Amino acid sequence: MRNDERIGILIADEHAICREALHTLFEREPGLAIVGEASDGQDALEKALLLKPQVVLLDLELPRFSAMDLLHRFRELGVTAPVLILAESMDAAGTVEALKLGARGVVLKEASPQILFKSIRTVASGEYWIGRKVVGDLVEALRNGVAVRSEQRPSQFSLTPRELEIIAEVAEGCTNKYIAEKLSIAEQTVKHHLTSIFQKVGVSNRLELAVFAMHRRIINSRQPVHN
Amino acid sequence: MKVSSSKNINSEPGRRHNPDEVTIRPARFPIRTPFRYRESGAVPWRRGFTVDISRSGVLFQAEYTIAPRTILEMQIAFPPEMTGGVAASLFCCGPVVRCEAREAPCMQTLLAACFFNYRFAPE
Repeated sequence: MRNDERIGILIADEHAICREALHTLFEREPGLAIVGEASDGQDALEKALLLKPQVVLLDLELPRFSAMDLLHRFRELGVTAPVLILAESMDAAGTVEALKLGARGVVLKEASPQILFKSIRTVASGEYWIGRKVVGDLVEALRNGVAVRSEQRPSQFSLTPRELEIIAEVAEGCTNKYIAEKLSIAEQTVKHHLTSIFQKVGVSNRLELAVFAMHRRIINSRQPVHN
Repeated sequence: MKVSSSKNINSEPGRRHNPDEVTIRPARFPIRTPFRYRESGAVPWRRGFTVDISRSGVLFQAEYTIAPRTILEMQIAFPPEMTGGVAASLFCCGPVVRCEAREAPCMQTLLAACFFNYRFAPE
């Protein structure tokens, strides 16, 4: 099979072992080839623009930009390659959000290699790929016509409870000094937390952090869910 | 009063477009929230709603057109349900960079403004 007949895939995963494992899998599968790999969201964005893969295989948990934020940026910057999210687990809310942001499908890591290959071929041909177990929940969510909130949303950015607290204080307009006093920590500790937060969610200042958190409802997700 | 010090945002220096360069624009977050604005030095605030907000500027619905390069004072409201706590406001200052006047039936004007600086303040 000629190289130009194969589906070119960009893989994005933080862990080198995972990327290596995917390399080994795809080497043995005719018709699929890895054209590039990225270890974080920023790298994935740049390589998607430069390499123009036919499919982007995106791990859900990525440093710098999360997969969800990356989908948003892909759309902004005109990346048209279909994106397949690779996740350990994803509920209906997360799947709906991913699809809304432009993903073409979600495949779980527990799936077999054959399912992974099939999902890649499916999205490369312009179709969608969603696990059978999720379809029922998805239909329910769409019927209800509400944006289903995932209680696990903050975990997509690996934000700690302390970091969520700090984000909420920033969104309320609090200074680092005030936050430090309120949380009984040193001001320098607040700054360290903010540096970590900025890096995790891929923002560069307090304004962007506050807007990002409100848009993604990260702050509200701290609240208990009332039925 | 818990007020953040005013932050200056470094505007990107002008440079020639290199087609081989990849320019990453700030992410825009589609948030609709009450918005007030006025030309710098003017007394009455005018009301509108944001369409999207990025770290470098805002796109908002307005009642009237305003000429590009006009410096605006802006206030973006963040109600408690958005902040997860108390209400807060973002005060910004910056020039209008784009104005789109829509025709009937929607009769809507969209203005885009950059942020020269900003500060948060709880209400």
